[in-house]
Amino acid sequence: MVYFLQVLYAVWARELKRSLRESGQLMGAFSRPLLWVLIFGVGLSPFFRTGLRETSFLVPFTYVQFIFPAVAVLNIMYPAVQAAVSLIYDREFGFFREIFASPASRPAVFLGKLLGGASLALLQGMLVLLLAPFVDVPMPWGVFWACLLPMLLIALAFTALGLIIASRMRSFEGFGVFANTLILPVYFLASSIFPLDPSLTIEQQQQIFPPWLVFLVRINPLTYAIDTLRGVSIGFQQFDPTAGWLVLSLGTALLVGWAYYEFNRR
Amino acid sequence: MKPHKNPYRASLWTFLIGLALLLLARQLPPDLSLALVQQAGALRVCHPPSLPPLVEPGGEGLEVELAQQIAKALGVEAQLNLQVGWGQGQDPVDWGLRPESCDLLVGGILAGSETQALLTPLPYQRGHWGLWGQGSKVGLLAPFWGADRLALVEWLEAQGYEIVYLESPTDAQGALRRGDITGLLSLDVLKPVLPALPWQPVAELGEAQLSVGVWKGRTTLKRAVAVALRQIARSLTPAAPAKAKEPAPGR
Amino acid sequence: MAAEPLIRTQSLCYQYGEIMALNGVSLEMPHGFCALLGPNGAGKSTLVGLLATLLPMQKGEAWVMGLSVRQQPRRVRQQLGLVFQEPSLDERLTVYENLSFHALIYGMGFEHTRRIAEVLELVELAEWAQAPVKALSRGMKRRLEIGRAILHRPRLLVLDEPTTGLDVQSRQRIWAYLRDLKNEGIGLLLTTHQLAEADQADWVAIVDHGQLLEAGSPHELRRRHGTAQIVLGLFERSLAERLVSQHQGRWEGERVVLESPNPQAFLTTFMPSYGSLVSHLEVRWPSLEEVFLKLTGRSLRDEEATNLEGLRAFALRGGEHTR
Repeated sequence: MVYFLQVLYAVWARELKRSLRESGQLMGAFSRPLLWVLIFGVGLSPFFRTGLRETSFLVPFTYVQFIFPAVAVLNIMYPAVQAAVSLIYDREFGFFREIFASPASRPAVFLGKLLGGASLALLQGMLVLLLAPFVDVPMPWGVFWACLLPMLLIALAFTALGLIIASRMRSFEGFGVFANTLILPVYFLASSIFPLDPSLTIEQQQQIFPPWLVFLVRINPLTYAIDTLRGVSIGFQQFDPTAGWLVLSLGTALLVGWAYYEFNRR
Repeated sequence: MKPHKNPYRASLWTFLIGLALLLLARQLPPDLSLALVQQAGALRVCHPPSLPPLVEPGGEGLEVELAQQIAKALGVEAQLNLQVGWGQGQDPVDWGLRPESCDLLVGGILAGSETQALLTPLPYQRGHWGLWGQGSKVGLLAPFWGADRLALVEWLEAQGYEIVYLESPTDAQGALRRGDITGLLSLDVLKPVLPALPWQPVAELGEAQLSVGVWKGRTTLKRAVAVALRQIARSLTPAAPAKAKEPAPGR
Repeated sequence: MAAEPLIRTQSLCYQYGEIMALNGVSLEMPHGFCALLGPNGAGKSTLVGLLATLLPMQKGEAWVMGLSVRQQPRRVRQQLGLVFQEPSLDERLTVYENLSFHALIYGMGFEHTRRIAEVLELVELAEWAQAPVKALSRGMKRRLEIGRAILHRPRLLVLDEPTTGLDVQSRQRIWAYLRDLKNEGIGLLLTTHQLAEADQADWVAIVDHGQLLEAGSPHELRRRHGTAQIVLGLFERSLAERLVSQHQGRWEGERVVLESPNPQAFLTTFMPSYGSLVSHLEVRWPSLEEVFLKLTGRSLRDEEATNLEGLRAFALRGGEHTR
């Protein structure tokens, strides 16, 4: 058991050290919330302002408040998926041999990589929460701690996703291209930046948005994950909370399991 | 022994600068709404023509006075802006309220999902739904923006009452006098203008949050109004319950 | 020292797709310093990969110090220290951090500072403990890897071409470390195509085309397959020609080269008679080079790895560079 923990710690600590020594990623961690909340969110707010006649943004919050949890998820998503690049790095530069020629147990190594990526991602997500006063989202300690659980699950899910992609990709470029091509559409189709009005039925929603869009948003697991976080942070959920937690937990578990399977195939 | 550069140096600088920027952003004013009001020296208060005792003709009324106190707390004058269309018809969209002409909205606004979707209601007092009088014919008086009329009607029907829809307290008084109705369902806040019949609160209908309204997205103004409301509540605490129920002075 | 062989294989086979890299290799390496000699593509790296449990076992069996590679891979790994041709260090971490990582994944516990210091002393890198590995030269990196490989006190150190591509000074240093380690009782398995290294071994196995050609101590191999040569420079040409025809010698420029199983005997009879006519006398003892040439038909020197060969070997070993 102690051996397991040693391996876990060693791999986890290495992931953190390597990432923290690269200031590039860190810059993104700060620039993203500044860009999305400050510039994007505030800039678009006037377009969602309510006059009674112009209102089409019928949720009980301002636009910046609405996207605030989604920006936190954005800041989790990027570093989590990127963390897996270390897998390709290890393979390319031979370090994987050091790991796999040792008697260290594979599950311990896997867990170390998973937790390493997820902890980094979670920390970066928490940075976004710092902007809560700016968007006028009250964040007492209770709410803050409550936000951590969905954020952690999301971080684990995306790290696992990154590991799955990295296990199947050979080159850095391929990974980068694939990852970015995949995660941004998934993100935008998660009711993150534009909401599906919960008070409308599906038919009504389909009158505002095209049916395929409504469909994709509804089947996207990330929609429910972000929705759960929104519920915990600003107290607003578009979908059933139980369904949200279910999808979030199951989705994360599935992805982690798949990632472990892919990891072991090496 | 060659001294080696700390590998975290670049990251540490990035982190510190980034953190400083975030903390700075945190303190930034999200918008100019409060600044604009203070610059103009006036808080434009939109209100319906009449909703006694909250809004009385001639610039009187409980909520009008509240608005004036809020304006004073913000250091500006209250500029009353009568909205003739307010209350005409069920759909607030038809009332002709425009964000450009209102900083604060008062006039029987109840915080609820409808009003929260359209503006930011700031509660200042709790009200209770209750039944005046009794009998089979009950008038429904809910000229409040954000009242859940569906729930009220359902409750009345469940109790087996015959419902008469009323537009204003004057209507209600008339109907009671004529005997068109024997009972009345409304908020306790209207007590001062309704006949002194025995009043029973209806627990199932819950509480109502009387609020003043600020348009969505005006965060700085909203915060200032919220602070003002708290100040006012604190300064009135010993007398507050009395004030809400007693007839307004000078009436 | 245990009488059990360091490494034993039995009909070990390995196939990469169509290519048969190892074809029924059965050998028994005794404890001590063993060298695996052979040209690139001979299967050395595959053999080492299998023993290190980096490649999955196919046909055949192998035992490392009595432990079955097939059945007990984890225990085998614990006993092995590995140094490969391509460095497997994390360049972004420091020397100390690389060693610390190794200590932890080999289960040495969180208190390993002293052991790390010991090892750094051994490979003379103590001053560089806090340096990022990026800053080290190739030779230093190799030394670090050796240090790292023995950190967890393995009983067998496996090195794949450890001094290839290094400057002479680094080579000398590494050989010195290896000698020290050998004296401490650690088994050494070296793959190489350098004679000088193989000559220092206690036991040499020559492989080519996935097959074991010969095995034994260098002395035995030389004796079995090599013949001594006598090189004579003579003042009298006619004597030289006579020697060439009588003893099936050959010319080397102006000099005569004669093969002789017993140079001493020959010289004892030759020198008294013709000593005054001799301008140059040289006795060349048989070398592994010759043995190798005889067994494989190729010269070791020609087999200095070209880039392509090296890469192919790396690819065969499971690296991902080439496609």
